[in-house]
Amino acid sequence: MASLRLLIFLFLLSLSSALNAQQKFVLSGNIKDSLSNEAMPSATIFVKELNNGTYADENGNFSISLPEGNYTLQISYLGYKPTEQKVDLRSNIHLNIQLPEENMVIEEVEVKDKKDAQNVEETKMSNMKLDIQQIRKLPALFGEVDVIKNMQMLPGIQVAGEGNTGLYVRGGSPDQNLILLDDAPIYNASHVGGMFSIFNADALKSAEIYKGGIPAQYGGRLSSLVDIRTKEGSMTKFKGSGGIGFPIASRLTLEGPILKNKISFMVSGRRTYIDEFFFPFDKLKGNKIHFYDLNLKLTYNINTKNKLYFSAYTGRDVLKFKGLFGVDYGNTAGTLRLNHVYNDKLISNTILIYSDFIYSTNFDFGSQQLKFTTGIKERSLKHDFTYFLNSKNEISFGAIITYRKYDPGQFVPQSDSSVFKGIQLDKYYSIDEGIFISNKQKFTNRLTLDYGIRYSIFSNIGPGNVNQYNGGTISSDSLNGSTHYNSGQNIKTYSNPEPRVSGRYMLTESSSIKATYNRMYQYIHLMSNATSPIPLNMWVPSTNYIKPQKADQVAAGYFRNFLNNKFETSVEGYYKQMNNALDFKDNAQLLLNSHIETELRRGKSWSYGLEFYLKKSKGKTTGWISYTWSKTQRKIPGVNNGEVYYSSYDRRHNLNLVFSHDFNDRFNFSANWIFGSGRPFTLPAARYQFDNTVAAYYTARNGYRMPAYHRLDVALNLNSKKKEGRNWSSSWSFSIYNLYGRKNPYTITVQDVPNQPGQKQIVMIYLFRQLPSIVYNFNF
Amino acid sequence: MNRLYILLLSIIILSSCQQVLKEDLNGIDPKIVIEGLITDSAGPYSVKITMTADYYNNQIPPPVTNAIVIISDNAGERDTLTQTLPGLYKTHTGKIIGAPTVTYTLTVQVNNQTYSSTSTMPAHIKIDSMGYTYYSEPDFIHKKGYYPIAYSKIPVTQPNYYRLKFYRNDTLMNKDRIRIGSDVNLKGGSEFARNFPNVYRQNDKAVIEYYMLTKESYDFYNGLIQQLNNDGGVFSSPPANAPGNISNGALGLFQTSALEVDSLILP
Repeated sequence: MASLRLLIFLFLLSLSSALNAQQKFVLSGNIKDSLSNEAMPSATIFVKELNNGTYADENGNFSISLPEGNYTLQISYLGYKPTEQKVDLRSNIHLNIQLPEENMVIEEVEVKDKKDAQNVEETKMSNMKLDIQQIRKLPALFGEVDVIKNMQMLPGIQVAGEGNTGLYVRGGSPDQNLILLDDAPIYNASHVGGMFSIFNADALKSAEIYKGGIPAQYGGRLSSLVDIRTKEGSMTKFKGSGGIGFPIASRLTLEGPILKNKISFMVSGRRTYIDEFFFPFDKLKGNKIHFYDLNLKLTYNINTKNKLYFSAYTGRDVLKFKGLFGVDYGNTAGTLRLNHVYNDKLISNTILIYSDFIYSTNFDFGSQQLKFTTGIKERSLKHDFTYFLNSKNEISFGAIITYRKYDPGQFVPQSDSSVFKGIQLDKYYSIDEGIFISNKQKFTNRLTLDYGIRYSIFSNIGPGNVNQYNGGTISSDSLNGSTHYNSGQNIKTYSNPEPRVSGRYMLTESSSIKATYNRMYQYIHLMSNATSPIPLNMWVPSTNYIKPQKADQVAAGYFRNFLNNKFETSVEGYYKQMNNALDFKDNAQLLLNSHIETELRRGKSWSYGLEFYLKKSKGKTTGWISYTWSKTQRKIPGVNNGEVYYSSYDRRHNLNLVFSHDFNDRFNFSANWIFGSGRPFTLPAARYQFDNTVAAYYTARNGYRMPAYHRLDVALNLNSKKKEGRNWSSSWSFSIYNLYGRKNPYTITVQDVPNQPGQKQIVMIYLFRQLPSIVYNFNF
Repeated sequence: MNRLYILLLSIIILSSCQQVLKEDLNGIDPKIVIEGLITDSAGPYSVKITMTADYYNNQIPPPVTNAIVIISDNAGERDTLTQTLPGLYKTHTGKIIGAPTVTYTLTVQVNNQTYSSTSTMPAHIKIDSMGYTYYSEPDFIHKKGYYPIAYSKIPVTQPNYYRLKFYRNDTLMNKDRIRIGSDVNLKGGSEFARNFPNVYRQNDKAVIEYYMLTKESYDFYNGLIQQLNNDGGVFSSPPANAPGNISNGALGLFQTSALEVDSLILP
């Protein structure tokens, strides 16, 4: 099996040199920022005469095959001034195009061309790209601009509750999102138990989420792909930016050339300092509560054919109570990517990927010190190719292989004299491969299909001990010893085809219908029965007993732009079904359990919904309205007596209004209003007395609804005056979160009425009412 | 562990607030609740039978007065219990005698329904001695005063489960706070110091009771504790019923426990 996979991999590699056929002339090129030389991914290249176009890849490269002739190219990119270029195509031509930033343009440019109808024209659907510059103006909790929280305001994405960065995409759970930071998966994308995401907006170039129609080159999670890319440092000029925020964090980003036009760097850091504020006194000194993020990017233009990128991230949450316990967790991720242009038609990326997430808690009971750790670590090699066959076909193919190590939990006494035995669960290991090929084919001027397949092969391998169970039932009672597997020995392999299809049919120049189908498999599972993932993330692979999760999703939509693409609208409907969806038995014991499979329950989960979106991204007033109607249910034997129940993040209605207005160059006002109908939760049906305790008797899981969630946030942004010849600019951002002080449910719990033992009440806990923050930002 | 994050968040937020909600709960048909306990101390042993009630209703649980309650053991002894108070059924002296390793069966008949449970009494662990720590200054956790300690040797035969009760001058200190433990993660043969959770003063009498539990009883209490600690938050697991050991859908527990007691008068 392994040698077959190797063969296929080699075949794909060799294919790259074999594909070289030429017919028409090839117009290829590279699109960059005119100042920083930074690549412009997904920039639009539109050939006016042919009413046809293409998009640049993530490195700003494009290629299109055209008949001989004179053409006018229109090149555009969000936030940049569109550029026109004449081309006399009589041979293969390679262009280096530089786009100037929009804010350098004196007059407002009204863009009228069809190239702005990208949302209508592209085959992609169920996909949203955030404009990082725009979201910086929006109100933010504690002033921390957060791409993940902005994604939560898009249609089809739910939020668990107040101040939570978990993404619940079309009925999926937060562990079903493949969150990539420069191609490296991030296993725990949040700080402070979900309050903030780990993505420091200063370091980011783009952030995109796929709720469906996930490209064949990505796999491994059921519900979404979140593709986040960091900025490349400027190749020409040393620059810096940063911010000082009250009450939470400060940031600093530096970038510039190391070797002009050859090598650049970008380094960005963020740290909170609430502990420095609140624990300066003797008694509290030594107690810690903070987090930090550090991003680094190096870009090396080796030559016109080769470009090398190195990206690294590390971040930690640190919490320490002197003499009691300390918690420390975070991710480290890195990628090394070589972008190689073989010729006008063939481009490849070779990527080495590393990612880990490690969680640890230290308990300090005086003489007894204990350390608990859990984590996951992976290394991947990915090789992908884009082959611009001709003007009608763009083929992508490649393969990825991942070696992963899972640490489900170690509980280790810190001294030999300890009374604690310590628990060291067996680590799990897996090899994960994906081979993918897809073709974006233009059938007619109206119809384009993007079809492909991913073949995933997942092997749980040794070393390891596999529990054996008597009589086919997996329970702690039927546990009967274990079988040992040696290092590298295959324990269990799953392999599955994952078809992916998206299609677009243009109805008019500014309207289209699209449809997509995708099948996804997820081979790794988060052992958490909390609604929102706690930082204590225990991941386990698919094993003999834990089957891969599977999702099938269909979606269809109507896309239409109005008033010269000033307004973008879309309506999408989806249906998603998940098999082997995970839940856990009542009172599941997930911590340090050597037979964790006995705690799992598997079944079906399904979700359907309608998503409406209206967006205005040009002009002084920008913003969007999104409304989602959706329903998510599950039926899992062993949970809720096998009856259908609502998933914990099922919300019927979601409405988001986002508004931003530039009064002039200096003043901007923005606001957002968020509404979500209440999510389900569980309340007791009756009480009984046992001993001196009032116990609760539960019947239905998630049988009640919390009150609706809504809030209004506002922000005022003030930019410093622009002065000729001055490099320093700054801005102030004042925001108020939850302006009208809505008491939004954070949790709902049953408690004793104070001073009335035995008398119970239902109590809602809410966090923030009006919460102001001030951020001072600077650029130089 | 979940509570840790709530604590963490609470610190960040400095002030989280509460509001009482009035939620109409869907009632259910009342269910039988059985609470039976046999220890290896002298009897009589009792079985309490009540019904579930409305969740908000803080009344004495409705007793079941028409039950036939029988306890038998694997040595052939059998006793039909007598109701001494409404819903409270007691064994007769000299019939059933609690002893470790003996298996007991409880049968309850109410309104043509039979509920039953079987439990084998677990063995003792031995408290070797008692001591205390004196705190002359209060700190993060402790008040000024004596904190008694019970020393025991962790059994080599594992696992053992137990429920703990702490008394101060004959007052049960953890009346509404169930404390359970197990030695699953402790080294057999090593000394273990069990700290009392409350402060004691001079001349106070400190008593500790170890009720040894079966795994089923431990799981039941653990379920109860989970319920009480569940804050319903996004970090909590969904609340669930405490898993009892009685058949036919009755709630509650039939517990058989060896009971180890030790005491200390503080100087």
